[in-house]
Amino acid sequence: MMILTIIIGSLLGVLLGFLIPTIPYTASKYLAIAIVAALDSVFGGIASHIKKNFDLKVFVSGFFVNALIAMLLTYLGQKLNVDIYLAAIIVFVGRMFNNLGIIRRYYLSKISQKISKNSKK
Amino acid sequence: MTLKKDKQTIIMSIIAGLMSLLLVGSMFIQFRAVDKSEESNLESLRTDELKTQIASYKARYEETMEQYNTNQNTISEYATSIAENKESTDLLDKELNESNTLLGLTDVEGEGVIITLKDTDEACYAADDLLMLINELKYAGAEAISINDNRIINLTDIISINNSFIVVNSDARVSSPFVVKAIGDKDYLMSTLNLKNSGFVDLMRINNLEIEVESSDNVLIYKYSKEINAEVMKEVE
Repeated sequence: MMILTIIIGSLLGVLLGFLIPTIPYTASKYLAIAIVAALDSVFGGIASHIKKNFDLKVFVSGFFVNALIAMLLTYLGQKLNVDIYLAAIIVFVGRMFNNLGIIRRYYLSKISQKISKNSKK
Repeated sequence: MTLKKDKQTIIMSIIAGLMSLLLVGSMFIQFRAVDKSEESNLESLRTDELKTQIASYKARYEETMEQYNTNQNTISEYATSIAENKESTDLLDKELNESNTLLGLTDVEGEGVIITLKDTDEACYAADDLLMLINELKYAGAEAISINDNRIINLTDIISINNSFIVVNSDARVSSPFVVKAIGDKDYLMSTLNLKNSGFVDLMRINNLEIEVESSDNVLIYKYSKEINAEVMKEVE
């Protein structure tokens, strides 16, 4: 059921993305950093699910608050003439790779377990 | 227990769906924004591209500036030559005016004499008398002469057609009294005309003709009113 809602939501999102008029270029910078933050939260959520310490509240708040703070920091960086969004991207993408590594290892071990089971049979 | 779990799953699913909607939606908005802005929008260009563009613009600007300077120089050259042309035109105009004045094609004024000649019962003025008078005046340095306001120029002819008329300038009939005006040094003119016995005044008076000569500081002589045409003669090159 969860997968179904995710697929439906994604399809609606694609539709929404095409229906909404294009945003100005200056705003797209903020949207980009928010997307990176949100993706980081999603991968973080999956990784924590694998580690069995998934908390919905933490996940949802992380999703929104991280995106918001990333945008605010970008704005601040613009005002200070320092590319703070670069730091945010490094942190988020670094964490994304970290989490992806956890996910990868989990599924690798799962697959190898299956293979060893089959060979035992 | 299962009901509670179901409820939790539904909430989870809805939240997951909403979040994926938001995420995918904003991603596609971003894709479109980036796609569109890459169409040579100046703001979206990378720094290197901007640098190249600025350099090319600068080069073009310098080229244009150079051309502008050349054009400016040409313009100033033209302006100078125009000014020179104007000067030469002014000079030509002045020369033309002077020539016209000397030819008798302009009204002139100045000091001179006014001679009034009247026929008497005993004698009439003839063309020869007028010719002689004009000759005398020219000899005395008259610069402009007229008979009854007919300007005497270098081509003027004075011919008698009968006893009462004299033709001046081919078609102007003049008759007594003749008013001859001359511009020139008035003292010189007067003294030449009034020479004892051989002067024009005395000669006429001997012939019983009436003559009056007066000097004036302001004699007005009108211009030659006809056109001067040369049909036969040509300038030798």
